[in-house]
Amino acid sequence: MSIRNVCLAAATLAALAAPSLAGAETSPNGQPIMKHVNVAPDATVEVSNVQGRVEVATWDKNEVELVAELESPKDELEFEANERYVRISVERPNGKYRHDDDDEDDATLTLRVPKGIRLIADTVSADIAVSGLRGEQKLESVSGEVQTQAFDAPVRATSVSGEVSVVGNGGKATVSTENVSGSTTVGGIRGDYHGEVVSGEIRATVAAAQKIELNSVSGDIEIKAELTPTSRVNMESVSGTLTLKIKPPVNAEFDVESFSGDIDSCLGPKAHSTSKYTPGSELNYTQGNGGARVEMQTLSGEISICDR
Amino acid sequence: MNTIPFGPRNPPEDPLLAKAAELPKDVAPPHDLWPGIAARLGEVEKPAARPFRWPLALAAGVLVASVSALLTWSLVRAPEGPVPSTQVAKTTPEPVPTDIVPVKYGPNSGLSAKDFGARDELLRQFRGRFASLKPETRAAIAKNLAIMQTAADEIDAALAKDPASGMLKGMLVGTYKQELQLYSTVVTAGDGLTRRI
Repeated sequence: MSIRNVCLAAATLAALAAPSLAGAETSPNGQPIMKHVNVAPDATVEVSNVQGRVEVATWDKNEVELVAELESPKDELEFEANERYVRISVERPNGKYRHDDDDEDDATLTLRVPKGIRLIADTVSADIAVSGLRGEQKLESVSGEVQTQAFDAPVRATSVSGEVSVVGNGGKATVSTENVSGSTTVGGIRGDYHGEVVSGEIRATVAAAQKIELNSVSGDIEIKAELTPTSRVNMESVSGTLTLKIKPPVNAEFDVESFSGDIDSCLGPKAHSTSKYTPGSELNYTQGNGGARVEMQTLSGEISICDR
Repeated sequence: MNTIPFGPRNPPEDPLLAKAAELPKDVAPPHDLWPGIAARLGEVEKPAARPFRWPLALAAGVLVASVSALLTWSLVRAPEGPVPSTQVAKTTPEPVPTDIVPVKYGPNSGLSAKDFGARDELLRQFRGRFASLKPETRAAIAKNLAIMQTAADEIDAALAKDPASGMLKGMLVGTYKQELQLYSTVVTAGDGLTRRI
């Protein structure tokens, strides 16, 4: 069992054991539903929504404030809370989601929370926007956009077809993004970064990370990185283009291979053939004093490496 | 028992070599052996068979290029971005998928029945949710599963040529994980406490 699971189990047990504020209600007149609860500064807050938006901002109080605007009279808001754990959920009748494009049935959840809480948010088509949160974040949507900031605690942001955006604030958060067809933008982070995409693209700027792991099926990945002597970069794609731009001076060992794609590097020697019978090519060399290690692999995608 | 002494021999003093020297210098084979040798070289790649390198390399290149072209064609034929209005007027709207086709992994994938069993259970739950998603989300999912299928086929074809490639195996496992992740994201979305962590 992972530490996260243990934490969640503990939080759930605490929720069951302690007196809690709980209940489900609708908003028949379209009036916002407001909730307040005092919580520990490192409490866990779980938010679940279907369609609309989840917006989380921070304040200096040890309170969670919720303003829920439910445009459908059929939507039910479930709110369950104690000092260590808050659960907010919008339930649709019979669990069905709307298919039409109108936005009349949006449910908008606006929260203000202590900076250090742990946030878990997941939605179907609702967007998720988080700002100023220092605690751990796990944000997941099917077709909604996911936007947040990263400080020192881990951030995991996932969307199937929506865009994902993580903006670093100089902290050393480990950032993880997963996307299928949407695009991912990660900027200004100084911690480790793990990104996966199927056909969407990843654009990332990372400084001083120990570990960067990026994978795609057909999507393009472009990363601008500042490497330390202990940095480890691993980029892999089946048919997408991999582009690595490294801030000079470059001191790294490169191990680059493509089964049938081109390898283009403005550093070191030119790529050479891996076999006389297949179109594969590889490139292995040490630039500068070495130290950092860069591995890039594609099946048919192109690979580009440069220091500018 | 006859013994053959070690060390340099003087042919005139060595009865074995003397007998060998009596054999005719030119012995013609009973028939031309070259077609048979050439045929066998054609069956199995022989790196040392220099005259046959270029056809093999050409064939491999054509194969990979064909697969790449097919992949490119399959991606290009389904435009992602906005299309010119002249095309919009002519094309009919694409039908919204009501179900998906899971990725089929080829014989070189190395994935086991246990792997597929785990996927099938997740897939069952995924299908329970799929129909309730927005049409454009369903279309995006179906399209990306098709992209994964193309990738899996391409990797499988490459693995057939280079079965020991760790790079290719890693890519195939990565594609499989991406497929599972896609199902998992949909299954757990908006699920409150039942979601995975």
